[in-house]
Amino acid sequence: MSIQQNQTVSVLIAEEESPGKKDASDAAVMLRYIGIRLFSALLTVFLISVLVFLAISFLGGDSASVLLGREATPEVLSSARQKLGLDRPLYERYFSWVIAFVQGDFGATSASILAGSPTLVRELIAAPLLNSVILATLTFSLTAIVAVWLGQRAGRKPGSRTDRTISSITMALASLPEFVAATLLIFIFFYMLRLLPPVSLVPAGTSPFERPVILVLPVLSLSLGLLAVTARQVRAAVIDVSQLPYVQAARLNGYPEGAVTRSFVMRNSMAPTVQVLALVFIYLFGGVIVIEQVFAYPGIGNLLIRAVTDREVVILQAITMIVAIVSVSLSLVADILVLFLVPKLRTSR
Amino acid sequence: MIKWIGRQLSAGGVSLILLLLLIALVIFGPLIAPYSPTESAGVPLSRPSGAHLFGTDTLGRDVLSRILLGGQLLLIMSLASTVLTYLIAIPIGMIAAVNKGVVDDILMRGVDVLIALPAMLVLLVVLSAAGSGIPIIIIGTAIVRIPLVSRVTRAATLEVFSSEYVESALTRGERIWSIFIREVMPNIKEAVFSTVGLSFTAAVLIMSSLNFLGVGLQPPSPDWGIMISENRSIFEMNPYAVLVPTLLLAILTVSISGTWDSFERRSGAKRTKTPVVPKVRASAR
Repeated sequence: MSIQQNQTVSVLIAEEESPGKKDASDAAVMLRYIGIRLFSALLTVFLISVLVFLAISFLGGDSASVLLGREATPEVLSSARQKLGLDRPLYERYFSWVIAFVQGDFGATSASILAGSPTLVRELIAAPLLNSVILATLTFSLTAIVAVWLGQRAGRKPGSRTDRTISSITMALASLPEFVAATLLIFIFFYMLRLLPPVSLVPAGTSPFERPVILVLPVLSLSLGLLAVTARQVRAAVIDVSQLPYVQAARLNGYPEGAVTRSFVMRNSMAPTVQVLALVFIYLFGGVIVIEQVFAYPGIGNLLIRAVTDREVVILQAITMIVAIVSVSLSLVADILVLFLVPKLRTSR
Repeated sequence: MIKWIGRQLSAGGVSLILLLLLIALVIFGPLIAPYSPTESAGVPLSRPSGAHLFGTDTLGRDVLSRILLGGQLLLIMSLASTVLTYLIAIPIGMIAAVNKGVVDDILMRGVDVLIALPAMLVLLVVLSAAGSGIPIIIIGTAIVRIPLVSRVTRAATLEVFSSEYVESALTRGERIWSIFIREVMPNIKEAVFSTVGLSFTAAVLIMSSLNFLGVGLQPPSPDWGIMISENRSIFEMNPYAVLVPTLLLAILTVSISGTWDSFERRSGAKRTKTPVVPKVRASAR
């Protein structure tokens, strides 16, 4: 999943509108920009909630009949629908779902309601969510550090041997599906070298850190693709910035190359880099779903696949909304961070 | 001699050769498959032998035959979904570029929504809502790709529309559809075309992942992704059943993007800024 949003980043950055009017002061421009971004983030989350709800309620058919199977009698079905609240009109169900969600109540799984002892989705999600956050955070840190370093190395001298090597390797890695990379790594590190475990089971109630070795392969296989995508974006950003007139001017003025890189190129290529890193989280989650399945790691992706096969739409809705909120707020934070990093964007243009 | 070959073969050349070999395998594989891919053909879990070149799996099915057939549906479906992406995305992008009102807003919102969610999650929602049939998988994979392509189309169309030849076409009263086809399309061709390689790789990547996760194509259909997931437990007994499909998928995805990358770089070097002007302009009133 990593490769496909590759171009999104450049499109996003290219289309960034210059905030504010000419006569407004810098602070007002920034506030206005932040306000607009905040509004559009809220709108996006709202739209996602409507779409997810509609998609699942409309297309998904009747979850009561799915759960009970074909043999269920009409009486049983209608009482099941009543228990699940499916007899109420759609908009009413949507609003009660949203209101409960905002209050942190994600509902209970349909199967458990029908069985008479509701299992709260919140309780089901808590432990896997923590496990996934651990996996994602480790991967993210590794990716961010290595990718920025690689991208800077490659972008400094475009077309050089270093650049060509880094670019071809990252291109190959970026196009590998995560489960293919993971399977190859398992083959090397388990079947050939007998170094690392091929599955990453975490017994319920324990933390993955009790056996940190199980995290190595999942983190490694998740990072490879992400690393490649991110490094390529950083490289492009560095090359773009290096060609700007003020960087050329600094070179012509006789600044040593190191100083040019540090004070002119690095800082200004930070803006696209930060935005890329916010998007990395989104790809990261896509990869997490697959990788957790490969390693049988008890995270949110694993739960998600089970929810899809069991048709537990409540879990699917809750996880989708959590991911949407996290990724929308991350890209919001990234956009605001960029304002502080790059002086040029702050001023009224 | 070896050095000479090395110099002749760029990374792009190697990718192209590998890709062609794989396509040949996918096309001719089913013709030379020795056994049925879905029926038991021997002792379960037998090691590679003369009768079964890559051994058999837990159900005694011939691994070689399954491998030979395992890429077909994946490639056809990826191709179909890529075509579908462009059939939908190009009109959307062009219309959004000229219709700066509601259409543009809806498109941009749609893009925001789809960008905020990982493609995999969007597909899981689509698949669990609409069921996992082959058409749904194709449409779903196209959907997650549409926003990006239509954004590229929109940006390129906007650029073309600011040019004088479009202005003159508008002035002489050319219809908007005719402008799209005669003036815009030839000039956005390259910008839009440059995303095809990535879109196709993405489609292969997404579909094989869905198959691996067990929410795409369903067993017993022979598919490399499915084979990897169902044979992982017998890795010790018959490593080929996992390793060969894995390598094939790796070669497939890497060679597609390698080929496209070098193709893009080569045509990018030749690319000129002169607009493509329709040849029979005079007849267009």
